[in-house]
Amino acid sequence: MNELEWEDPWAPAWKKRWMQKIVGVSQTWVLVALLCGTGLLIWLGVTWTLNSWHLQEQEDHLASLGEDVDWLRQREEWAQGFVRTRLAVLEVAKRKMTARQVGVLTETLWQQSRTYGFDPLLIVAVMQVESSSNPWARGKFRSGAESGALGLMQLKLGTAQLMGRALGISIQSEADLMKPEVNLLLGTYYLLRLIVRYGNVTKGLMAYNIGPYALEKKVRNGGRLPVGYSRKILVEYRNLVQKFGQLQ
Amino acid sequence: MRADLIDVSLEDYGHSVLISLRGTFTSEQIPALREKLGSITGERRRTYLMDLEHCQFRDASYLELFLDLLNQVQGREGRLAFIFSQEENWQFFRRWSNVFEIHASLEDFSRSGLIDALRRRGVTFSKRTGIRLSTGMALFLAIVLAGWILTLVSMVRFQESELRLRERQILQLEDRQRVLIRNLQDLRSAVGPLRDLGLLEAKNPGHPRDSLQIWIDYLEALEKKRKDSTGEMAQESSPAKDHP
Repeated sequence: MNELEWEDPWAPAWKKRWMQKIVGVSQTWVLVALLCGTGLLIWLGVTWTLNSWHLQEQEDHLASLGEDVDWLRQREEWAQGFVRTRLAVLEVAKRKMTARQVGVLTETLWQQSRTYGFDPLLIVAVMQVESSSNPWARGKFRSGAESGALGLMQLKLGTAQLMGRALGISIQSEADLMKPEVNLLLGTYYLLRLIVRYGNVTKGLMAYNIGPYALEKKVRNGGRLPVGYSRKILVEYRNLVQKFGQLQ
Repeated sequence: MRADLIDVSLEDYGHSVLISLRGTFTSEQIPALREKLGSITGERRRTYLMDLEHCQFRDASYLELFLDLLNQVQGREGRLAFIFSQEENWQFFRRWSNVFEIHASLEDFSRSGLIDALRRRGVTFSKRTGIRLSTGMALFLAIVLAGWILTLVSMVRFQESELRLRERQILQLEDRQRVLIRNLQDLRSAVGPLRDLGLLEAKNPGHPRDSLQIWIDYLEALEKKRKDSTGEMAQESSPAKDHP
């Protein structure tokens, strides 16, 4: 054979160099490459599988931890509300209520506040201003005659019976109203209805004090509104909030 | 062999044409062979099989001839393949083995599939030479392999970063869990003796959560009672929409 190192005479120089270059890989290198490639593939596969398992485990752990944290957070919220209410009731009850009565009032107030979404300390403030937190209190006019207002929230029998019907609680006599939890339940419901009716806490408190009809009459006639009562309650409420913290 | 005498036989199989060359070809036969092959391979979309088993080339210009022929055939959307197994011709076509389609026999040609397609694109393999790749194919394969390995490695890296992220989230949640348990314990202490609420204290609680169980059970019972009674009350009265 004469000359086998032939070059395409018409191809450009770069193409000639390019075309003539052949990358040769010997069998040994093929074997080495195959072994390395297989090893790398196995390593990657094993790592990927182990990581996937680990990720799945972590996901399950995260899910159960998240559920537990949510569960605990809710209990903490309940506990905070309950403790705050209890401490406020204890503060105003002093020696006027038994431990059992304090317990029952706290439970009732906490449950009511969760149902209707109000701050239980407002009711504690009303309780304190109305009856000095004395479950046996009987209201009196300045003249000394009994006003008919009874118990912690100083409810009148007629109003209590009306509220009792709305709540499905039977109020037969004054003795029923002397039960602190019943009195508190009906008084709270009555006050909240008034606040909703007037769309305003101050007006709701005034109506609770003198009665809604009397308040409306005063408003109609341009009479002097009993702001002193609501102011007293709001001051008491702020004091309690300062002591036991804001509602969470 | 005289310059104008070349031994070429032709077998037409319709789609394919088998061209057999015999003898020793020197520079003198180049014009005649070029002319002969040019006239034979003039049709479009046909497969030309050139049997070179019984011929030898004594001049490198034949490579140029075959390259021109290949270009012409491919220009007519046809296919050109060489059939030979002898070492001398292998040496002759060695440098261009990635350009020409070469088979050891007709059977080999008829069996050629994926391997052949690869070879036509610049990949050849034999036990003697190992893998031989054209530069373009080598570059392409290197990019594909690097991309594949990089993809796998990045997948694993992504998994690992995800694992680290979740590890952090787990630690944060565990911290939060501890804080909540501690808060609940503090609140439980603030509420005073549990017997004032009509509850019995747990004796020798093991885990911090065990000491809270009675306290939490109590709150849950209150909440359940509230929910049970709310169903009746909610129908009869609407809750206050405004609260201080």
